[in-house]
Amino acid sequence: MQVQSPTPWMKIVAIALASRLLLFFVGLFTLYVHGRDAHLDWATWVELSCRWDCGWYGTILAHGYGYSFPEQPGASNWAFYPLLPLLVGSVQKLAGIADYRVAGMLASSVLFVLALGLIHRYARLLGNSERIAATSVLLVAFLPQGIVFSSTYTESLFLCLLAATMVALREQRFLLAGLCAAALSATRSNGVFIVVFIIVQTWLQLGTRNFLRPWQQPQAYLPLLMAPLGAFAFWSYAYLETGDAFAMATTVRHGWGWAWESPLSNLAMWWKSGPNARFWVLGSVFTVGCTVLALRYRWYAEAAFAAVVFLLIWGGVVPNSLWRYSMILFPAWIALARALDARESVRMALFAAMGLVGGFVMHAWALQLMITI
Amino acid sequence: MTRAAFWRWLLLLTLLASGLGYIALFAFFVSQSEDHIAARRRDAVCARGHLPVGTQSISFASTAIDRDMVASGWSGPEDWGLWSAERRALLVLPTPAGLTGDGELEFDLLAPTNRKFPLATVDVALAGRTLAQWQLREGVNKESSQRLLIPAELLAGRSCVILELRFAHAFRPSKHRLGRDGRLLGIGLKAVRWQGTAARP
Repeated sequence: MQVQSPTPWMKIVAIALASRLLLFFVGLFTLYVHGRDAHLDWATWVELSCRWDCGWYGTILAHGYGYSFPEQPGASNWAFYPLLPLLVGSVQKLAGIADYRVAGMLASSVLFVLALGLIHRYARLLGNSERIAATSVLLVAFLPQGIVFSSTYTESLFLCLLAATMVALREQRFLLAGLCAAALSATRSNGVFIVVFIIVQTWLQLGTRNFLRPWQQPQAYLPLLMAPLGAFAFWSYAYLETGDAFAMATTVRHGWGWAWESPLSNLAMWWKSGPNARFWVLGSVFTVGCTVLALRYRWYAEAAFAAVVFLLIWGGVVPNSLWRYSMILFPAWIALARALDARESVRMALFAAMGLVGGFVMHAWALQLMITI
Repeated sequence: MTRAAFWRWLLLLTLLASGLGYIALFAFFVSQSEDHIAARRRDAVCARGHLPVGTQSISFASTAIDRDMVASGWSGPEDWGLWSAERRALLVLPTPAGLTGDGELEFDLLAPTNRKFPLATVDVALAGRTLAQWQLREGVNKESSQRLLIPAELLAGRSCVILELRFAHAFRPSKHRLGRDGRLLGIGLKAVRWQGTAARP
């Protein structure tokens, strides 16, 4: 399937820029109101972009893998997949940027614009109107905690690679889809679950009869076989360095208390455990609700991928970052844009609510409140 | 066979081979990988050698704890000691110098028992051999003292022992409306003592 209409890049760049400016001004205003050292200068912007995990990526760039902080026993930077630090390190070298936070912000921002363009294209590939595609882009650009799309965080890279894989697969560009999927599995632990999307999408594209006869069109299986390459490369490296291929899982268990439990009982437990977890739960449940809409539109492959990701993030007993992990499942936002297409007042109300919540979350991010971890 | 068909079959065989390669490599990783954090802590304790002469008690309170001894499955130390936080926990203890016969350890524990979970069961194993099963029924977080006999053959020539503790009863209080603690509590560990060996040169 091919989309004939061009991607409105100028409009997308303008949306991305506007959303970034808004977030940074809210952040600066927050710091100013709270008496922190904040000026309308580059240094404050760079400082504002880097919170929480950003520092961990900095340790990978500065010391390599294996770095840990004594105040958090068992936690180490093995918890973070390598593609983002590799990319940020390359940007630093190529552009001669000394501060990794600047390189990270630059790389993430460019990837974010690319991701928005790909999301627009994907929305059109799914048979949506230009208006729905534009609303999808707006929704993603103004998502609460969208500051991570301009920070040394994996969200922009993940979003871009996820959209690129999905677009390439729908357009039957198998080698490109495989390369993007392989990169995705080197970005974050749940990236390898793209294989679920690939299997379902390949099955839907080929039909059951042809799907079970791989010798007829073996190139269609290329993405499936290439997708785990990134994860296996990281596991191999971890094994050679530590003797533990699953060093990532080991450190999140020791250092962050991660363990597997029933997702439903976890949700109930988090709901009772305080306002931060309640916010994260609400955000992820809202995303699941929008993913159910995707099912209504018969976007089965996208829904299957989201289901597996939710199983993973709800299955871990630690609720941190649930919302952040949910927000990159962009087919949910395309489905939401489609559902709201004929409901102008609801659409406006949603954007107003997102503005409020987004402002609150940016305020919390600037002050390094736990809710934004 | 046409040229196109040849390339198609070659691609299919390559894909099948890489699929099998993934499975083989994953199986290798699963069978050969070792928890690198627990291994590092274990090696650190064992490399330090025997328990210093005169040391009677090993405390796990936050002010005294040696983090390497609680190799895996434990929560952060508190001022009294620490809770186990998984269904299985590893404890690495240096052995006293000059220990010849059987060794005996005494554990000061807290059992997270309550009305809903009145019984705490702890299986203790060393080198794959179950040495004891403790059953604690004392009541809410009641203190308990338990003894563990370690046969001489399991101590011979070792500067440390790696005890594996399993908690069948472990529960998360927050899941059962017993508080806001979301950790998987099995046992609270306050201190451990080697019995009758501290003064031995």
